[in-house]
Amino acid sequence: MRWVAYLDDNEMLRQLVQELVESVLGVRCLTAGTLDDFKNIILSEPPVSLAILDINLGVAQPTGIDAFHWLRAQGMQEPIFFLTGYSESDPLVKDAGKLGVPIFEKPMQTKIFLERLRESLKLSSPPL
Amino acid sequence: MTRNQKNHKESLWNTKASLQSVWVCVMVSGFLNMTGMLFELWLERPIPEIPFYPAALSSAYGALVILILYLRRHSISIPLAAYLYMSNAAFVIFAFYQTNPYFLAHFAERWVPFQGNKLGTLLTPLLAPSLPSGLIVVAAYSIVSVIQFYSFPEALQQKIAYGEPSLSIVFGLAACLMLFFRFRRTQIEHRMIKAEAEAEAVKRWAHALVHLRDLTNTPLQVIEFSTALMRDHQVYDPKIFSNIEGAMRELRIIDAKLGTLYQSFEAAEAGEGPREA
Repeated sequence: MRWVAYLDDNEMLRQLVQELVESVLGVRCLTAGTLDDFKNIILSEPPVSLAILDINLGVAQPTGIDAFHWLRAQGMQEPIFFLTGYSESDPLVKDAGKLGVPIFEKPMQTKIFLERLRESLKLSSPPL
Repeated sequence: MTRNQKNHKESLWNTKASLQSVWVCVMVSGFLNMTGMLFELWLERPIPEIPFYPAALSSAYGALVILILYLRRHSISIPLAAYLYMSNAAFVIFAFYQTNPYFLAHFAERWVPFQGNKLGTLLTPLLAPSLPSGLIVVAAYSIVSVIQFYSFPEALQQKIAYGEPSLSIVFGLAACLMLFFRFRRTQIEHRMIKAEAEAEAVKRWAHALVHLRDLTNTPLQVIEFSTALMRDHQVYDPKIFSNIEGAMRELRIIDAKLGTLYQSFEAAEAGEGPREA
């Protein structure tokens, strides 16, 4: 069963992404606000189909980059992408850029966001 | 460059050396007066009728300048330094004015006139705390030499060194030129430091603006997803409305920060200097 994991420190956004993924794409979505919660979710569920990671998770907190490395260390080969509010000039975003995975900048159009998810999850596009 | 920046532009006339450097320069001038006048007293030994008090008074004033500067070492100001510098020079000029006629009377053609005044003239571009005080002191040294030269009996005027009083005037003009060069260099240094500080402040503000822009992106994403859910996918959960309200609250906080940043810009424009946003 396919499912999406979403890591973001913003609770409102977590709710909205969960709602979008589940109601529009029909794919289960589990969210976490911290790296520890994220790890617990990943370890307690079947292998995740797609991980969406915020980069900056708050002051003095582990980052989305840490989550990326942890997922890869767990042997996850499924798609991962970053969704961040920070610009390319931010040092963390620069570091994330070296990881070879897509980085999407907020605010992202919902249509494009859902399209990227469909592509990553290999879902068919909705009828026009 | 804005009008305010033009208003705050430092003119050559108002250019001042740093307080630390001014303190050292006036201290050196006080020290030179104190020790130089002791040397003058030693030089006066062969002339029994020469009054003792001008050089002694000037030397004592040099010591007083040193004492005042020591006591005000943490609270020196340019006007105080300029006052001490000019008064110190006034004592030196007074001492030379009083003793020069005795040297002339005693040594006549063996006496090279106004050597002390010329030395003071040439030291002024190095030691003056500000351009106006330097010009006043140079003018005083030169003009007093010329006046004193013409106060000497005409027969004696012919006996002393050839070229006076023109030489004293030339020394004064050269010293003025050196003074202008010194303060022009200081002015350029100040402008460079100011330009570097302004560039650094602009860089900090630019970073602050980018950071604020970054902070707006998450609430904007909340609004984007919320409206898409309602408009395109007919999801009308009350939570979505509260999410939009939450996003608006965050945007208002960022807006307030932007206002503070703008005030910081305005304060800097008004000449209060760059501040952290």
